[in-house]
Amino acid sequence: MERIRFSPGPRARNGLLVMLVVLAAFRLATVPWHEVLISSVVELLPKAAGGEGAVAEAMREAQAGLVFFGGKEGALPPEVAQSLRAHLADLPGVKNAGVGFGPPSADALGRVLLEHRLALMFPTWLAEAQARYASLRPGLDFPEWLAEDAVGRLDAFLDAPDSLGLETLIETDPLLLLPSAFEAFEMPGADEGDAPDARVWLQLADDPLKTEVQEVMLPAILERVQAEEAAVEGLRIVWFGALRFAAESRAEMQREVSGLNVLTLLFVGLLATLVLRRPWQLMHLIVPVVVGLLGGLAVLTLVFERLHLLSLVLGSILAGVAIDFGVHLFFHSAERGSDRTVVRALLVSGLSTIIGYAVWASSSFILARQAGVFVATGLAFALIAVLLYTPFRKPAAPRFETLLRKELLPFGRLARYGLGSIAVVTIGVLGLKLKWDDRLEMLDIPHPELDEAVRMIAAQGAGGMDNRLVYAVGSSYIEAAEGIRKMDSRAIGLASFIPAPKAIEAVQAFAPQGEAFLGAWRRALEKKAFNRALFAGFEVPLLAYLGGDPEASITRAGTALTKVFEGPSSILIGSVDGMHWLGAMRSGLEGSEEPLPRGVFRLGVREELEDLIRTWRMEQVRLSILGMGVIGVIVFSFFPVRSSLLVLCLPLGSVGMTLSVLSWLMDGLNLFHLAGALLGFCVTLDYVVFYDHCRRAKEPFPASIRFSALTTMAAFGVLLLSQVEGVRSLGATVALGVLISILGLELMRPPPSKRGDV
Amino acid sequence: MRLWWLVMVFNGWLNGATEAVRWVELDPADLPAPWSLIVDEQRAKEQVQANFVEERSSRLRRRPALFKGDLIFSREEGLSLRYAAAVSSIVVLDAEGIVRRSIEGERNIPVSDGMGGLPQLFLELFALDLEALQARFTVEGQLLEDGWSLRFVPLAATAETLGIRFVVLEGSDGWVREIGFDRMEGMRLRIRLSNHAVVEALSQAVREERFR
Repeated sequence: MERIRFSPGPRARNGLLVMLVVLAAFRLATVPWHEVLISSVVELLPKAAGGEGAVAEAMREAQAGLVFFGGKEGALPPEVAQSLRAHLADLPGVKNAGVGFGPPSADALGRVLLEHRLALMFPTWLAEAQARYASLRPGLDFPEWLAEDAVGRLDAFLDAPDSLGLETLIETDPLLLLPSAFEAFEMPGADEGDAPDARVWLQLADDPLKTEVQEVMLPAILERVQAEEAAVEGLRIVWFGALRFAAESRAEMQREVSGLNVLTLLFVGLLATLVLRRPWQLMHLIVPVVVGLLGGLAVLTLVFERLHLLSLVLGSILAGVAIDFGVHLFFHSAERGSDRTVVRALLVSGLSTIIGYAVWASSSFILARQAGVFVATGLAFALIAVLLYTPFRKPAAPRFETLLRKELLPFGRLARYGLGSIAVVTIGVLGLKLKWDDRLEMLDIPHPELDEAVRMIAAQGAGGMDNRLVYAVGSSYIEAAEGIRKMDSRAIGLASFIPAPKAIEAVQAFAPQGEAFLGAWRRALEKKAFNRALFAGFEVPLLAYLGGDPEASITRAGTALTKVFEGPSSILIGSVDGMHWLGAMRSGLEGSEEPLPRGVFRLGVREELEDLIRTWRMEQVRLSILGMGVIGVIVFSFFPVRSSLLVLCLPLGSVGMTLSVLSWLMDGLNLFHLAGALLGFCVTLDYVVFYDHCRRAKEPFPASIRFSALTTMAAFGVLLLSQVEGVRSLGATVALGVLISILGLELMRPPPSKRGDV
Repeated sequence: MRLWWLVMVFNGWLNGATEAVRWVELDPADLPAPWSLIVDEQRAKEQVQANFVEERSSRLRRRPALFKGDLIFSREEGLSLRYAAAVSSIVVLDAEGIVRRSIEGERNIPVSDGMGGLPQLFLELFALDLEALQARFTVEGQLLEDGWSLRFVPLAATAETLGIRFVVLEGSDGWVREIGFDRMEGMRLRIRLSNHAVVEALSQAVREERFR
């Protein structure tokens, strides 16, 4: 039976290639990039659905939509703050605006509390009275005793000088529920400063991380700010928010990506001019890179709804590897003609790298997942392009200048073993000091001006800027308040107004005695010479409350409270999808490693992100080891054992030494070092596979490896100029890794006396 | 019936005419001679101490409540009222608000809508700061045979905020003798002062005990 072989001609190959490019370009042309590209680190947080996750999401969204304003030279004058607030509130796209970051004023809060006093405070008041009754054993029925006790307390309260002015309140609230609750209450994050908080905030109606929202809102806000500045001589306003950070991050990253790309091209072009005889032929190498980038990006947009710019930066890995595919095939064809074994080596190297990065796609870290898909699919496209693109099979390709053929390490066997041993010892010694760096800064682009605005505005008041608030989530406000109480009894904030389940039970048990209590209450008022008629208005609401569902009335009260906790303080209370949350301050949480009780979590985006980075980093270590393991299996299945050991030994050694040296030089290793380490492993593997191919074919040491190493080092070395620490880490790891690899390869070569090549 | 109407009108006219004669509106920026002397004399006293009897009538109770104690007023520190009966506590009113100290301990009392600007009003009255009071009240004066009387009638906004019909300050022999608040809906407060003395300097112990 005749074996059917797929061997298309040059036209068919180029046609297929063009088709791939057209398809990818068509897909990319239909992508709404403004909606797809994201740049904020906040968006790296995993989106959780339902339950506590939905609450965290709702709180985060509410906070992300805030923009904060303050004076550049100290606090804003109150009248300016009010004027700015009014002008900002008028803007289309602004949901709400206010002055002061702290919780609502005692009056605003007091009005809601007064309206819902029975729902919120009566249960606790009753439970405390029951406890006193149980300890006193007064010999009276509970309703009788309770009425006398309550009237006695009212009498004493009216005797206190500070009851002055509260007569009207007392008519409505003769059980003194509100004064007692205020006495025990400590507002979380309340501004304790003497001066009123004149900081202004606005809440956007739409997602501030969307480019179209930024494009409309930023100029509109700026115009209002400038108008305010123009109206008052010497006034300067500073402002910030996720809206500004996201827009500036995006602009900065776009500037950086284009700047770094131009620099890379310049360096690679310069290198090509120095070491190649026909450098213009190098333009062919762009084809697999472009096809890989287009294809990878097209697949990425099909898999993910939104793409983080940093994952595209990580995609530079793709260009770094894709160019090597072309380099080996191109120069090998140029120097030795077309060779099927070279294609085989290329396939082994390429497929193992693709599989290695495909492992990243299973990461829970969105950046790693996106970079994994981007790099793996992009490399698959690049590999196809290299195999299809006909100029790579022609001997008219550029040739190397003798510069790349010179002996790099003219050492004898002993010196080589010595250097190799030093390398192994270095890995061992420095590797012991391996430490990790999970700071958020590695992902962020520094914005000194905005950071200064944050500092200035934070200094102009005490409330609302603290991200060390702790939250409790529950299926009701009662459950959420219980969560807060379990955390810390010292500062429970708003939760102090929410009755405990036992207090609710006390109300349910007391309800049938309501009429008896009111009868005794009237008699006690008469006995103490009160004008009983004035308190009649209190009786009907009490009976209505006792006849209703106390839990439902607490939910209604909670909803009313959410209406006065606006802007920055909206984070203290709220509900979403049937889940309710309450916020409270908790001291001593900083640096605490103890796990938080269930249903309680930190909102601080920084802490949450750093926790996630730590988790992702550990996962990345596992995935990278898994990826390298898969590559190892592939290598062993394609090569003899001795060659496989050779092929795997150098990449592993190179990665080990790179990470050891960087860990020693830097404060610690981060996620990007790990990403770079896997890339370094794959690139080195690629070099060793080709070196091994040439060694077994008794061919001279391939100069293409040196050229590829130089261009890779140049391309990734340029990343050291990035403003993002993570990108710098990636650049340093790959550049150093490749340098170590190429030196390692040179050391692995037999001394000149033992071999035939130059 | 006609006779009754006539009596009513006559009485009204008589009262109105009497009022018009007795109370004179004063301009704190341009006080006539006797008033400027009275006010200057009060203002010259930096710190004063006195005993007080406070009578508080409330429509909530059929009988007024009586309190006794001593007070110190300091232009720098504020007003400190030490109640000895019927309650035992110290109440400090100063620029920062109110502090109450009792056997249960100390607590700050939030100045709510209900309390309005009462603490500030107390301080202005004790300081006889007519310029500040004029921003919220019409100031009227009455010279009596054995003393003087100042009446502060709130402007509309103040009346609503503080719930006050008027405040009367009475004095004689160089001292304020009584402060009276007539509040809405039959609530009244009278503070009668006696045994006045000027305090030259407040010791540290007194400051700590009596003020914030």
